[in-house]
Amino acid sequence: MTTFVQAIVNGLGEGAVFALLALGFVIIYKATETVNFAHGSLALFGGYVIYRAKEHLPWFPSVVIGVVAAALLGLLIERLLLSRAKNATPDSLAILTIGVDIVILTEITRRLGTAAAPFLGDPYDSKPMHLFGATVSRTYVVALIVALLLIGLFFAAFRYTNWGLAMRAQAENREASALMGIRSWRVTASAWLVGGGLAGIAVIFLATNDIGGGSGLLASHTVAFAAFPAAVLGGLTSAEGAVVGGLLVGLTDSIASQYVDLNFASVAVYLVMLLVLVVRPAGLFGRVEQARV
Amino acid sequence: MLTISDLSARYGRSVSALRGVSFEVPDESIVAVLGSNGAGKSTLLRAISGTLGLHGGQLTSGRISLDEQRLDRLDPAAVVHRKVLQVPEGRQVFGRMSVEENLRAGGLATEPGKRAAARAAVLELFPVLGQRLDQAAGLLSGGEQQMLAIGRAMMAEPRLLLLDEPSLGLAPQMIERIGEVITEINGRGTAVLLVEQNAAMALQLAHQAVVLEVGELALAGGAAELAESEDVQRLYLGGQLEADDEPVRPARVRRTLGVWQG
Repeated sequence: MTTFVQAIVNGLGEGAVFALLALGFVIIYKATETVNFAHGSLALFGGYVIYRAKEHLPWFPSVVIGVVAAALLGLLIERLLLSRAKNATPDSLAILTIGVDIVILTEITRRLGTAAAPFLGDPYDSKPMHLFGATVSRTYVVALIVALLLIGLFFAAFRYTNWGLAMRAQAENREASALMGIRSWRVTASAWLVGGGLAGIAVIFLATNDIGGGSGLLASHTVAFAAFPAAVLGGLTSAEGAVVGGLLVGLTDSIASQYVDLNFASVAVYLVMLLVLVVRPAGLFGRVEQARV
Repeated sequence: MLTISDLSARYGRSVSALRGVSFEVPDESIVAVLGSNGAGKSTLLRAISGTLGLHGGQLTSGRISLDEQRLDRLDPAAVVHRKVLQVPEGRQVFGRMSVEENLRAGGLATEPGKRAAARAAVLELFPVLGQRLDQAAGLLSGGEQQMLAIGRAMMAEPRLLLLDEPSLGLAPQMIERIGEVITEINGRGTAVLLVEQNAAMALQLAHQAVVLEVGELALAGGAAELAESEDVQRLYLGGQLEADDEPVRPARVRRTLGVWQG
């Protein structure tokens, strides 16, 4: 029983972090129709800035700086690269983001060197706590609470604010939203800003002993990759789907590694994704793309 | 007053859609644009609203100005802020959002203090929308969607409303209702540029009309006098068809194909 509670808490905590990443990923996709393969690098960059800031500042201000930096990097990628490629198709923009990802990953790996393994979860990392009679890592619990709060906040903003309204309007019909006076570049830029910021928050849970494991910050780029199956599972265009997909991936990973095998866990995630796609090709919450001829 | 002078537009590199079109839309008037499919009517509205680029088109010459200000170099949002609003062809309401949210989206360009008044005016104009505020717009009937599309644009309190085929695909009764709405909107001081294939309806409502033929201005004048003109009657109102032309009976055709007779 205690193992089970442990697996569930771990899975939900990890899944909540994936949900944050997948949510940002989906927001960007909805606003620009571009699959952002640089999402892991946004997280990595935010983490790197936190790591550097921590050398001079306490933990919390460093985190704030890092999250803002990741958000700004997202904005920068959109403004400097994507928005200038006016005639490019979403597919070629996606390939452009792969290039961005490689550049950022390589440069940060170089800067960190091989020996360094920075960890960013000072207040909660490696500090077990007791929950329902089981001993669980604090990181998962904190991650779950923070992520759920942020996700709730985001959904409220999406539904009730003018920003959210403009986002949804543009995602649904670009021409009609332009005819309403909605400035398309602002919507797009804000999507990248939010996506980058969420990635920056996710990294403070990924770059920990508890979730990321031994290689710290650098591992977070690899772990963040699980946000892709999470987003695809959810349907790629659905914010709700991203959250459910994230939690599902986290739970799959945690239960499989607890009861089967650590190596099988990473395969299990993709197995679940494949199974879902076989049954529902558009993802759990996705809509089948319809085009009028 | 909206002034269009010597306007030419094309899609892609070579497909010319408008050639040297000039006319005016005086304040508080209704001007109808008639023409068959492909005459350039929608292109004209897109040029005014700044959305030609979204369709892969561009202006090649001429200018569009509202009073003394040029519109043709502005992006769509800036045109909206000049109070020129287009209701696109096919309505294009946000189907997954509620009626209320569609109206809110329409009001985004209005000063926050004026949104409540604009909403009240729209609901007065379209009481049916008031009964369906929480319903998804995609579930409305075609006529209701058209009303929502017009209402959404009215949320921005336009001084000039561009309507692209508002009668398309609607039942005769509903077309009549839309006609009344257009007259009422105009009565409140909004100028209307009305693109229509339903020439009878358009000429009834409009003060002036222009006829586009393959991208060029073919005729222009008062709506009443155009309605009387022989060309317009023959081409767009179907006036003399029954009287003059014997309907041509298709010759009897053997329905089997030659190959099978061999």
